[in-house]
Amino acid sequence: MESAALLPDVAPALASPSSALPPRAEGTGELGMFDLILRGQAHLTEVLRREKDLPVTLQKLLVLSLLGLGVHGLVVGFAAEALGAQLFEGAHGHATLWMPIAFELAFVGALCVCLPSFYFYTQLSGLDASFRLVTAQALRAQATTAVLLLGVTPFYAALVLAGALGLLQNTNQVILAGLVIPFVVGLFGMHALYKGFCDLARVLPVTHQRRGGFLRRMVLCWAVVYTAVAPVALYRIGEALSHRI
Amino acid sequence: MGLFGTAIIYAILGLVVASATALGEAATRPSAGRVIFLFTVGAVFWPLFAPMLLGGRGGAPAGDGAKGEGDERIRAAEADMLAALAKVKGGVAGEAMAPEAAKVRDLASGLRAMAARRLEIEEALRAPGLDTAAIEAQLAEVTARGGTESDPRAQSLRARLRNIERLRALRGRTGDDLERSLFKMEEITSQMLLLKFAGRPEAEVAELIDGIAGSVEGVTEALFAIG
Repeated sequence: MESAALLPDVAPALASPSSALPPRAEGTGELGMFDLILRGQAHLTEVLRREKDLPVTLQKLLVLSLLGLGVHGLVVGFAAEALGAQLFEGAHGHATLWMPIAFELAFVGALCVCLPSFYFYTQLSGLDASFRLVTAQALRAQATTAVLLLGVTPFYAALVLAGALGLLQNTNQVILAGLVIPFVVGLFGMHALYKGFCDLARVLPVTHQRRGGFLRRMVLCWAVVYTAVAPVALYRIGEALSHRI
Repeated sequence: MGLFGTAIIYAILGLVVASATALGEAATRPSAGRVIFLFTVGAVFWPLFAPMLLGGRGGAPAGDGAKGEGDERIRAAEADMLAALAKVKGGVAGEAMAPEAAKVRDLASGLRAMAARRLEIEEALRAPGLDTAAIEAQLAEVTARGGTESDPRAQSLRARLRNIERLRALRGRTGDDLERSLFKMEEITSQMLLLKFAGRPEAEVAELIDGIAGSVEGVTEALFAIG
């Protein structure tokens, strides 16, 4: 067959650069990363496994996380000012200005605080993942949540608009919804995290065998500790910033 | 210590990590904007950046250059092969290739085990008890003291020399097999790239994929037979 005869001639020419060059970080620019998070979670796992590229990948995930959280925080802050509602006890100042910062610092800061716990839970589950990989996985969940938040925010903005036009009477609930949405959307981030660990479990060394469903329990532990820390961080940082901005 | 004190310590650590992060990027001559961005996020979110700095950029443990190099090549071959699989995604090739991704990962795991085995043999050969020169000197000494061919001490020393030779041969064979497997992986990768760009009719593509799948399985089976 002609095609079969063609292969031996072409294969060496293609194989040589492949063996000489390091793995490429194809399609992982900020826009590429956005696309990977939305449509290529399996490929994203492969990207995260390239330890050499992890610092750059982490920066891209962080940028997306800050972008999504900042935009949502901006809308929630604007909603609080437009609807004349108080975000929480003792909150002052221009919420439109401080809320995006509070969202970014609180959610990403909570991630920083929880990292040692995440690493501990991962090791306890039997997966021998490096601290770098655990960090990247945590940011992957955060970035997934942030990207999905960008999709949800227009709907929330419509809700705020309805409140501003008087179609909704209880404006406090609109604000509450804005504060709760990141946690609801965060469930999708947790799902992405779980799928990522399912893929990684096939290649990572296992230090000790655990009974079935250990990945679910591990991801649940991650979610519980993060959900406990993040609201407290948001409240404290928001309170501190509202007195200054 | 209050919130203010904690914030000062956090900021100091942040500045250290941010400086290290920015300096680490200096080799790539980043733009001023990028340096400012790295410095800012590095200082504020330093716990995310610190593991990257402490872990090193290569991902290989210090003092384990040979292992890092071997692992790096296997990882590169695996990543290239998976990337080629992703490229042929869509259409008949993608559907047929999807289950092969797991096989590729299995194959890479096998190759890593093989590289680790070669390293273990090398480490074993570095042991003082397996020093050929020392054993040959001992043998010469035994012979000089009037030891004959049938002397049990001389026989024991010769047996050790033979075992060392076998270990060396085993190390060489494992290295050759590893290299052959890596070349095969790279060949298969190039075949997949050919599928992507050749623009063949679907039936022909499917036939080629069957052949490639067989090749992956063949390499895996050969690997396990050796291991």
